[in-house]
Amino acid sequence: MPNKENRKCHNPLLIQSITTDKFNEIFDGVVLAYDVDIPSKDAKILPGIHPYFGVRLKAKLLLFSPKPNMLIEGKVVKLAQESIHIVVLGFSSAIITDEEIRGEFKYKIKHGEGVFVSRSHKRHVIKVGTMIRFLVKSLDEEILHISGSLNPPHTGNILWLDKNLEDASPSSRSTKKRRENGESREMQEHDTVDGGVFSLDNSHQIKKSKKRKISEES
Amino acid sequence: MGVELATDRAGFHEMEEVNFSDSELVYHVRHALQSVPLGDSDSYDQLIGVLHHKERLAPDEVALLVTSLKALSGAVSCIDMVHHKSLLSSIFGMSLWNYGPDVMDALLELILSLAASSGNYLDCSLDMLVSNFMPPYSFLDLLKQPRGLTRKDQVLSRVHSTLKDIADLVPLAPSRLVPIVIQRMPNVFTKEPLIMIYVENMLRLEGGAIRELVGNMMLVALMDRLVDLDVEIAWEEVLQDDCSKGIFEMELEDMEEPADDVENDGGELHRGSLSRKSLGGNLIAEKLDSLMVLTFEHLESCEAGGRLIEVFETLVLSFQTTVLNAFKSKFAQFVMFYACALDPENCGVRFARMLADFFVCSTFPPLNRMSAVAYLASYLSRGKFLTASFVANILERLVVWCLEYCKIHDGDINPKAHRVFYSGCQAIMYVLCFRMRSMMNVPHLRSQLLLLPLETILKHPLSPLKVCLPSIVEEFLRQAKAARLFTVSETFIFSDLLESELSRAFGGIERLDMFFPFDPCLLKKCDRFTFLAFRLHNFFRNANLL
Repeated sequence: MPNKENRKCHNPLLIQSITTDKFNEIFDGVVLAYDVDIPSKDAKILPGIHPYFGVRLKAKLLLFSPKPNMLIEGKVVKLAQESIHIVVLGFSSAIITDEEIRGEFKYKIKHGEGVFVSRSHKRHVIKVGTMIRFLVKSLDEEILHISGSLNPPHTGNILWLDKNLEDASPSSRSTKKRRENGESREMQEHDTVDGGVFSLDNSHQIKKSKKRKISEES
Repeated sequence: MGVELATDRAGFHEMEEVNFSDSELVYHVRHALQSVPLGDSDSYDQLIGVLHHKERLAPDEVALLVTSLKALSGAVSCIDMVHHKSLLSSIFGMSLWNYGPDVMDALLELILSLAASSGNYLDCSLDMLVSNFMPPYSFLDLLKQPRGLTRKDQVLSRVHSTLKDIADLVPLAPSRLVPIVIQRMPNVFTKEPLIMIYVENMLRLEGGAIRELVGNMMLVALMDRLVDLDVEIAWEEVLQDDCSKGIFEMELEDMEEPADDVENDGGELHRGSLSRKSLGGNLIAEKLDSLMVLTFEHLESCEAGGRLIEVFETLVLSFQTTVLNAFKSKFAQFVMFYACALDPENCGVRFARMLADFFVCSTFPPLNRMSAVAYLASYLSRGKFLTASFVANILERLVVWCLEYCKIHDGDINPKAHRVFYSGCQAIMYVLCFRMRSMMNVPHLRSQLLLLPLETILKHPLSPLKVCLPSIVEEFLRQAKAARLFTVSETFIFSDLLESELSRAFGGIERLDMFFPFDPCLLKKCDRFTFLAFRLHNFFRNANLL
């Protein structure tokens, strides 16, 4: 995800919608947005039964490609003693089972709804609607379903974590993949993927297709 | 919440005569599940045994079942595809129709947990829900009773709300749902009540909470099914062999009432009369009839909800790809007709323009274009809700096209080569047979008509008057002469011929010269819906009417 300090996507051509909800094998991720640059209008005629024109282009792709041990952010949509259900970016689902919720968190019923409260920090609460940061254990590519974990120490309610931890949550530096003329260069600076926060400034609010709102950092 | 279990009921060994809390129950179930790969399946087998109780459950059996299902919901993370196959197949094989609301809720909670837990179970969960669209065979008779209807409402409302809940937790679930729904559609030979209830569910999805994601496909699949049924009805059952009666035989004296079962000798196109060769006993026709009525009612609710226009777009696309492309539809097109009747200014107009666009576009195959103009002509003639001026404008478009064609082509009569042209001319004449009189009574339409270059087209060396269906030509000439719109010096004597060799030639194997798709619908129930929107003609053969 483009981070706040290191913006590369100034191009107004950036298509700001989620183009497809399918995991793309070629790019190894879900294409969220792309920015196309056509360096030359010269085309090649490609031989074949049906003639095609081939035009070279460069594209920057915004990819959603969670990998094991990455940290990811999403919104809690359902919470029970045995599991927490999360939706990431409005199209990917995640589940954290009770075995993956560290002992620090205790399940309670407060005001009629289930919540997880930290035993050591009473203000650290996870409930339906909370944006949480969690670890990716595995991804089912076919339905974009993530199996996650709240075991690592810096996982939990994002708001609380960002306010309260001195060695702050790994910044929103991200994994970027660029594809240029068929080459791929993986730039992995940190192993975090900002699941929920990727609006760079107000003018780049990415909208979802199918009229679902993006989970915004609350 | 604690649960007491009777000692003589099948249950967990450890659970006899003891009160357990929810989490303890979950713990026991997890333990039972985790013991299976270690060789100990006793508790596991007992659990499956509980799930198989379905006939006339006593209250404590119900309680046990509910408890077991709830405990399973909490233990979903321990359910393993390999070791717990029989448990999973028991769960997914359960039919909500066999139980009361308590068990339904508990079972659906379990299904929801399974669906959201892992990709492995998502499709099975959706499949289980879709298979619950229909009751078990044994339940069919109950459906007619109030008790059955209550149960139906309990089941279906829960099934659809669970589908929505799954979509909330797994946003991609609806796209997995669509192929499952389509694949499980009952075929045309399934009993009518089952088909009806399944389609009801599809329409419920079309109008329901997840409609943005699945609605279009539901409609397309439904139209496809209607077409499947349509194809099964043979043309011979629809048309009678005796074609001595002309197309313009008087259709009905009394236009106010739908004529039910009016006795008539012959006259295949007399409205309401299901003559001896009727579709009455045809099961397929009855299914199609009922389904179309269901569709009509759904269209009405779409219209009431302000959604008809978007729904119509899907219908138009479906019409173009299936009906227009493939074959001569007998009844399915009345779905379009009814939608147009519900909203003439938008849908009605859109449909006509789409057909006209299709006709004039030279990139489409000739047969499709001829089919399109046949639909158009029949539609413009029969759609009572279409204004005369709109019809006049579309007619003008057809005339302009025919005129251009005349200018480009010098040749002589050639039914095959110029069949698209002849079908266009026939369409114009056919529509005028229905509409001429009313148009001539409106001054600005009268002048519009008089300005049409009909003479140039009809008297062109291509001789459409000789090639088009004689009965249409004759009726047109008669009316045109009476209206002083158009006269011919040649006398065309057709001797009451319906068709001729030349018309057959241009119509081709498909007989597109004789295709009037919006002629009165022979499906009884549908007909009652459409008749109000339907224009009948009542002109007499020998009368001299202006």
